[in-house]
Amino acid sequence: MKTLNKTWILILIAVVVLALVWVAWQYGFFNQLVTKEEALISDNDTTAEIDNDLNAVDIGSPDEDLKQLDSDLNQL
Amino acid sequence: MNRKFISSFLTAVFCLVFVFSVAAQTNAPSREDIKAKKTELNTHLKNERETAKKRIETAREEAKNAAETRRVELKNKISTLRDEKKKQIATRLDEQMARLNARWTDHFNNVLDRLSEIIGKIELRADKAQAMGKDVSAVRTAIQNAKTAIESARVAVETQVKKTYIATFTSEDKLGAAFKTVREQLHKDLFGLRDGAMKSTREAVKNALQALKSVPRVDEEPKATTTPSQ
Repeated sequence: MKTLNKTWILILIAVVVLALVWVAWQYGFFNQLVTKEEALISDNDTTAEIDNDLNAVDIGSPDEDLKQLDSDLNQL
Repeated sequence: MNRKFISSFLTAVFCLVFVFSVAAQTNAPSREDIKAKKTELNTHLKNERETAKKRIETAREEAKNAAETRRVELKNKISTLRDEKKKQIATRLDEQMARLNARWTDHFNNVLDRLSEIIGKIELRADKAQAMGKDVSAVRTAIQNAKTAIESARVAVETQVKKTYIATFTSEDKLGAAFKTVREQLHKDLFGLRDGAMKSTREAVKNALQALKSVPRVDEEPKATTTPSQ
């Protein structure tokens, strides 16, 4: 009787473990454990994060670089 | 005791089977679609970067070869100058102007890569919103406009890369004026590119983001929704 109970408990544990593994796999948990090549786009960028990214894009101005030429030009 | 245990075990198994079947019917295709789209976008962005980089390198090589004769002529003329200091300055200015054009076209190209990446992020967020049943048609149009603007700007940057800035002068007293003319042309071209194609591209990306922001609760992640069982 006791042996039978033990067997059922083991089977129940096995089923629960398998269920947990299956759920983890479904939600891509295992994929996160694998080192991947750096992705440019992440999984959940919000509009606020995208906004910050866009604000960080600086087109710049070549003015300073061009002014540096002027000191030489004035000597010619 | 044994019967009780077996019945509870069977109940547990039925519960798990129910959870499995419900989970299998959840929004799985959408989640997979979004995952696939993310991978596709990342691959596309990397390819686009590589292609743009190669285009710039090719254009630079072409420009260098095309201007080779004129550059040799300039070097020869500089070598005939009597003033040693002027010789050094003229040589330095010629190198600096070429370097400046290369530096700024590389910078503009990097900015376009970054804007392209941001458009990818907007596109993915729009996909998620669409998966949640939201209307993103205005966002799609704005994304397409931004993509067109990025491509036009890439062509403009490539055109700028192909330009060469080599002074031509007939006599030593006209040396300064010749270099000033070239400097002004470089200034005009770089600012023209920055204030034209580059700024309008940034604006187009900003418009796409604004369109995305106007979608209600757009930052919500798609939740698992049950589809009717067959």
